Amino acid sequence: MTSPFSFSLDSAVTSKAELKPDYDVVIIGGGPAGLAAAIYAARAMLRTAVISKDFGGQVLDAHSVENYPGFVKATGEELMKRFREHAEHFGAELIQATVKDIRKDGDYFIVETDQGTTRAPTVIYATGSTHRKLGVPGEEEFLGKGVSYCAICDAALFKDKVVAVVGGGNTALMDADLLTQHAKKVYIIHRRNAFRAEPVWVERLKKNPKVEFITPYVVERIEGTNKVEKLILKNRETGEIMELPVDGVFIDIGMIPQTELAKRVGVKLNERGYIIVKEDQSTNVPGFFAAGDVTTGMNNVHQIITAAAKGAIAALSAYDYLKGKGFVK
Amino acid sequence: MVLSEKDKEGVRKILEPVQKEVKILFFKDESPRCQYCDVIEELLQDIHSVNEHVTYEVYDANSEKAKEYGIDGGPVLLFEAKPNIRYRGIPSGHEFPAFLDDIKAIAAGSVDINEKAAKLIAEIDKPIKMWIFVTPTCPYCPLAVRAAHHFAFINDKITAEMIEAIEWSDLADKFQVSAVPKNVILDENGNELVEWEGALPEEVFAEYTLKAAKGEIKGKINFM
Repeated sequence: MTSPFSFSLDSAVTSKAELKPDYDVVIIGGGPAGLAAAIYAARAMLRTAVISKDFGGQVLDAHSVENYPGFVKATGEELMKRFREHAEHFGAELIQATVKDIRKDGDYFIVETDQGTTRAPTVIYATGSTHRKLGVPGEEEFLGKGVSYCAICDAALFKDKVVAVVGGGNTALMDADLLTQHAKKVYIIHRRNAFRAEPVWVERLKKNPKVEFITPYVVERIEGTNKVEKLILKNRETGEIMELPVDGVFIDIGMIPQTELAKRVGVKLNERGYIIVKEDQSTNVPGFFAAGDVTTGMNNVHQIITAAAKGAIAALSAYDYLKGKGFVK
Repeated sequence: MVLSEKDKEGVRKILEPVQKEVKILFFKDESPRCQYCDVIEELLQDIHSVNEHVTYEVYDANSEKAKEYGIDGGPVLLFEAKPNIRYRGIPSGHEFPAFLDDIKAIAAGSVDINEKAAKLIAEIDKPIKMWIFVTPTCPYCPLAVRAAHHFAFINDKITAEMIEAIEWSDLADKFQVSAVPKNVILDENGNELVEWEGALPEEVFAEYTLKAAKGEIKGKINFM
């Protein structure tokens, strides 16, 4: 974790690359899938751009990554810095920009950003996902008044306070672990008695005296006057309602794929809103590939290693496509 | 010394283009907020040690000099050449690179701002204050701080301050900061115009800042 006296020069390495008018492949998204795709595309000697508003994606929120091979423990920031440097080392251009539109023009995709427009015959779409909301009364009202979706950002603001984390995956338990460094009490509220998170997280937190598990409960409402004061919880088995006084609630109940721009070029989604990809990460739109959390290809394993693997496949499939079409030799 | 030798080397490289004086004024006091003031001073010394063009002077936050800049308590850092670009609290963690970028921009006399954002910000003709509450561990906060500082760079009607929410907990409590970055825009008398949480793309941030300055939007905005 970054201590108050750490000086994160890592994020100073943000690339100042200028967007060029054309590339062989434009990768949209700078998380593990996009950056891994960039490494493979650049090594295939493709003129490669990665366009993202920040490089690292959701991994930046992780204060402790403990399951990426070769790293017993790293912060998400450290790991993503290495991904970034690796991609740049082989010549991928990292462009910090927001993509505003993608459209098809003959054999090319025109990608419009706030830093200019570019085109490429292939796109690798790796935009990942955003935080899923609980959708309960009080959630929007108390956003920034006790409701948070970013523990690494906000944990320190809850020093000696009582907080709850909602969710049962790795992110929820990792955030609970971080919160125990600041808060005096951390409740973990989960709808099931079993956790999706790796058992090592569950076991570690069960041993932490600051942590209390509340299962199988769901949040019905978030209540307070000017800020969060309590959660109204419901037992999913008995229907029993309970009030839990808290100062803050961190919501980690999963993610929603970000497919807005892909839809504009006619990319098909499944019923849950994920981009349908084949084994080679291609979509129904020729030349348009997708990888990582935004796709159906993750088998519900939303991890850095799986996203990176799919990014690599997408890059090599894009390379084959470009060769087949005669764009590269 | 607060910077490691490796970090010092990194800072030296980043600041290589800085070839003319950039003077930083540091205002400190004896308040509990100043818990890291010694660290801030050491940090400034470390930066100076790798680039002699970056200089600093330390003042009491209750001195005449402080009053000149409208400062009513420490810790505050500002740039003499652009006193409307400020840091309340230590620019550590994710904020440190933003701080170094400000030094570079001031030395260069130009800032890397989105063109459309620059046009919108140029329209602001009344003094406003932009307060960006952050924590050092927040990876998204520097996006907001950098944008606000870019705005202040090109328009001196704007005073843009990073506020480290742990050191400045009294202000953070007053504005009920429990998620960062929290952006508060105030008029010249300190009356709140708008507030929102989250880091917006520079162009969108500029659009909302202009609307706030013109009085077209008010109160809390929810971007979620």
